[in-house]
Amino acid sequence: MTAYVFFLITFLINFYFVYRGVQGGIELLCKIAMPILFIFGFILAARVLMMPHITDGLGFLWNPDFSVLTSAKVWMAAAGQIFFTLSVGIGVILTYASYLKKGDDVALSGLTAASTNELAEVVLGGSIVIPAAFVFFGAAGAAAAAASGSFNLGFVTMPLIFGQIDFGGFFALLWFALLFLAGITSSVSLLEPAVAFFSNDFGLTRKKAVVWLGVILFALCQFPIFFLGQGVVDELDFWGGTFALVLFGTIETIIFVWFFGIEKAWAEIHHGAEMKIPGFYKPIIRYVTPLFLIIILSFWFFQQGLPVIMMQGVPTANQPYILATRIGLILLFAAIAIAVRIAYYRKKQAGEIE
Amino acid sequence: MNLYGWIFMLGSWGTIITLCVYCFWRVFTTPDKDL
Repeated sequence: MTAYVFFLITFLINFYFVYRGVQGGIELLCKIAMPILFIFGFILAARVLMMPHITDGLGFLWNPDFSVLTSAKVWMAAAGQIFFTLSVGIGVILTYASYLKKGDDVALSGLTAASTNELAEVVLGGSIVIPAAFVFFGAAGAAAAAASGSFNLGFVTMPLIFGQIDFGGFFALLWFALLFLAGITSSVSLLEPAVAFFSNDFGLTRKKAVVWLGVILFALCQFPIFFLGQGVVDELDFWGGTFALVLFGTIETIIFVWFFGIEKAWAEIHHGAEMKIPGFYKPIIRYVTPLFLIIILSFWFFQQGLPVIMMQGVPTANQPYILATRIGLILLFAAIAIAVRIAYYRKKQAGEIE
Repeated sequence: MNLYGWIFMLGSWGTIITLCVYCFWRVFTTPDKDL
């Protein structure tokens, strides 16, 4: 019950900021939350790096194991992770890019966003959870914690660690505040593409679009909340947060460089840019990136695709819930596809597109 | 942590921090530049 009340509070906070608009809501939230998040992250990382035997913990994370490079799952997870954290393949970057002015510096903004993101997740994030879990629970414990998923890592493993250090309550407060701020700044950003779609393509006011989206999402949230223990959230996370990102990221890349054209794309990237992207990136964007992503997807499909689709390793009791989740995702995807088609014909009839 | 671990960690941290400092320096020293 308590968890559900906090879900309601968080849900309402999300929609409050989205309701207030991009500048007055989302931008304002990020301007306040992001510096606080970084301050908390630096304090927590500094505390963990002062733990005894921390170099062993860092070694657990950083000592390379080249044998896993033959696993498609690792490549897929890595691509999904970086796409998710950079909001690529999910419509978010496309939506925010549409708000840019003609002369805005895409190259510098992109590099700044990517490097700041890496600072948060590699330098700070990589110095907190896994190394601390190693120090307290050893190699087997850290591996088990990492394998149990990011939810358990953040909400089960870390509280156990804070329970064993001085001023643990204070550091736990910083940790959960950090997770909350990281979560809410991401979720409000993720809502914007849907709000923009409803308001731009169906002629709804922003406020009506936010209310409609709130009602739909509230209904959709109930199944994962009540069947969290049956693996529904992990299933959604894999298809929505990893597979679909890599798939749609690949499609976006191909459309951008092969259909829109690399010369036009290169000119767009540099329009208003103070910095020039080195020329060798042109063939990388044109050939290496799309081919690399196609290889990862194909490699994953041949190595992991069938076992994942056939639910190998999923407990028998959970399989009906996983199946229901997949059917729900397919229906949702179909509904979105139909909505996009309707929006396309509405715009065509209005003469906005040829 | 073994030698490879140190190389990977310090190499990654160094690259990321350098890029971050460079980007924010460009943003704050370029007139009328906003992210």
